[in-house]
Amino acid sequence: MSHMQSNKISNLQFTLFIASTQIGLGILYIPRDLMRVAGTDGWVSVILSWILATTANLIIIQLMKRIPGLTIRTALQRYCGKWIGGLFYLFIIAYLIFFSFLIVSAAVFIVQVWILQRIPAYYIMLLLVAPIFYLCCKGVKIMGRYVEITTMISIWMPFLLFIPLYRGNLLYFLPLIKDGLLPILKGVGSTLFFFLGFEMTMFLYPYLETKEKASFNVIVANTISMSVLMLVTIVNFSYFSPTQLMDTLWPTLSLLRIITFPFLERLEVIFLSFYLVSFSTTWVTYTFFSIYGLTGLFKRSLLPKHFFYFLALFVISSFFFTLSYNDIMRYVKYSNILGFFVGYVFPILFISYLYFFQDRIDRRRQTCDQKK
Amino acid sequence: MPQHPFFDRSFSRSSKARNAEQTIPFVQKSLEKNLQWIQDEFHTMPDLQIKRFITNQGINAAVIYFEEISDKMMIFNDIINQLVQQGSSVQQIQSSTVIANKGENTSSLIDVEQAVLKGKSTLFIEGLSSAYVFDTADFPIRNIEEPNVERTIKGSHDGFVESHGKNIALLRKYLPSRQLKIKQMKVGKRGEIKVSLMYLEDVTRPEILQELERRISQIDIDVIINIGELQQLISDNKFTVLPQFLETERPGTAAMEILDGRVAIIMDRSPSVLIAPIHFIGFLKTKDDYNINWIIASFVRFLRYISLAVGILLPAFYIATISMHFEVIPLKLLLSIGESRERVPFPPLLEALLMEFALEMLREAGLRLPTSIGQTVSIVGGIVIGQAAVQAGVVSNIMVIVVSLTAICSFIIPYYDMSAAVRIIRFPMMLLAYLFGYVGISVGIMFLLIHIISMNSIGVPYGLPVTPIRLYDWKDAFFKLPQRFLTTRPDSARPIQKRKSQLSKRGR
Repeated sequence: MSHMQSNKISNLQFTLFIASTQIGLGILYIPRDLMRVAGTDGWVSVILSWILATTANLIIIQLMKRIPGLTIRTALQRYCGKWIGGLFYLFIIAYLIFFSFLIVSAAVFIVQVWILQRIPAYYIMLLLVAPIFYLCCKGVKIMGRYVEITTMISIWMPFLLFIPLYRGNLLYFLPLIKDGLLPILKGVGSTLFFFLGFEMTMFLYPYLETKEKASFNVIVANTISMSVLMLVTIVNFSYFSPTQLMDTLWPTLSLLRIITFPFLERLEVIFLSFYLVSFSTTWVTYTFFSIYGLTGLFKRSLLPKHFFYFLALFVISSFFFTLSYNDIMRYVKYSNILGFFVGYVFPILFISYLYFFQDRIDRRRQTCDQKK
Repeated sequence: MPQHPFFDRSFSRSSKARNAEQTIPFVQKSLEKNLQWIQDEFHTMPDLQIKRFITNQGINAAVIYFEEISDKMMIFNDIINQLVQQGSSVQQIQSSTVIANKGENTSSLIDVEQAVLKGKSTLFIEGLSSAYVFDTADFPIRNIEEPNVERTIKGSHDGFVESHGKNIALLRKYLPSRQLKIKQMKVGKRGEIKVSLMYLEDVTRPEILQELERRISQIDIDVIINIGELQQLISDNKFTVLPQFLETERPGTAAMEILDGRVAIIMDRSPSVLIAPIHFIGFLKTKDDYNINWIIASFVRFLRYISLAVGILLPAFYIATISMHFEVIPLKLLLSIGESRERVPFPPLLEALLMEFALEMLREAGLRLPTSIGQTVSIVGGIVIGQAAVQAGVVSNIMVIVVSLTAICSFIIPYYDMSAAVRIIRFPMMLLAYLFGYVGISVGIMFLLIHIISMNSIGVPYGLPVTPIRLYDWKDAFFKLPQRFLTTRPDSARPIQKRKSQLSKRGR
């Protein structure tokens, strides 16, 4: 616990932590998915999924409030037993590991496609993994500060999107809700996963300074991510025509291509390189908590060498296979299913379990302790 | 070890000598014995003066001092003359004005030795088992001048000098407050040196002061000559190029920092003063910002931030653009760049390194030369590097522009340590840019950010007030609001008193 006391993060850092973990790969491809599934009414699904995600997040907060002083691992092992709790925890960790690998590989893929075509993937992987390692070694406190500063220096990026909006055509949105509710509900299916990242609340909550404000912070964080996604969606929908958008692989990047200055063209190259700075918060969070979870499960202390081995595996694996666009989209789908269980289903299950059995188990534990 | 007579002899002698050192010698009643001891200790020191005289009561006495570091006039007028003309008996000497006013009584010869080495003079009197030490120190000191490294257009032109006492006096002149306290310490085994911490008692956080005191008292070193050594010995982070103490030669700057709750570390023999704790943004402010209109000051600060970014990133950005991402340049601009690079056979990185190194060498060469030769160097450098290299086709015109712009930008940063750090950081950035283009640069930025935010200065985050964020302190960070809004002390020194004009109970 001393690790957590010396590593407190402020409430603002907590908020930005969640928001910037959510804003990652999603904004680059989700508008296209949304257009395919929900048509031009996709923006309604954004709002609906925002409500769902915030609710799920609030449930996690309630869950964490029920187990004060415990982390998610100690709580699982206390109330579900060493093996079953450990198994649940392993499932969460597996998701985190899978997702952290996927998200870094996806970044490598996009960088290779858009910026550095001539450089082999493992070099890029090596380059991107280095700052992750450096930051992970510093611990949660510094990560909190990093999230703050990256938010601050990338605050201009959403405003860049207003330039294509000027050329957009709002008539594309009309008529509103033209195909009924079903496509919109289908759209929720794809936007729901944009908000993944809020499940980090489970791990971050014990580090939080003033826990009373956690619910408010979580709502703010989800609203920030929602407004960014909303902006991206609206700009994409109004700039591209529906068929055009369906055929564009990374629409948000293609969008930026039209911004030119007398001394600068292809702004998306610069935008994407700089976006990596704010994207890196997602990689770092997932990587850190995968290793944090693994070492906790196997009762080892968290050391820099663990991060080193883990990230070295990333680099070595990128020697042998590189992901294609279809691979990434397939794996994203898998990880979304995992993420759905971890972020939405698991908290509800666990909190309802606690609701019925927590008191009974606590009492039995106490009598056991007294007997000893 | 074999018991060879040679070893035996040498060892026994050295151990005897050590034993002799350990017994503390006291001042004897016999004048001759004392003087003998002094002469033994200070052998081969021709500048030691022993002036024997007889008081008008017929008692033998002697004054010892070092020539040129003691005030000779003072010794003759105030000590010897008075004793020769006025002194009547030993008791009267003891209570006479000379000794009562200026002298201090000691019975340890080690104290005498230390005092004499520091320019004081010592009076021995036959029949007394104590000596009198007079503060007649008069080291040669430079006059107060404007410091060369921190020039100012408006504002006071005084600067610290190489004397501990004078520097404290200068600060006292700026902050005549009862709360201005001084903690004095001595550092160094071979030659002791005075190190003082100056702070405002009701503003500075005591933990910071204790931590500084602890670090300074733990220093184990022969002698400290430069204040830079002290800075490295007590800094938090060893593996960094970024400065961790603000080094200033202007008492005004030091006084302003003390008012913010920081601690000024004054070392004898050093004309600069260290300020701690300090944060990154502290190196981009000057005292002059407070001396001019706030809009102009904000503009100047904005210039500094821009030049910080340009100084670190511009060559890297240029290299990345030319060698990897020429697609981001519009065709017309690309043509003109290509025209200037037409005759250059090197890759952009080599070209940039060539120019950067030439520039750094020129700077380093000009640094320690007398002004007259320095001009020659700058002319040779300007013509050879600027024109001949371009005409010979070694570097391109645009690279010359980029490098000189970068150099100017790095000189805009007001503190030497920080601008040196910026110049160093530029090189890994250039390498990353050459290898990985813009992605390399953004990874470099990530590394730099992580490095800055993970550092601490005496337990205070180096990234303040940006991260951890203190929006309230931004009024005097990236820009500067008018003076009447700056009523609170910034949190970057964790002061215990937030409001500026607030006084403690009896303070003033």
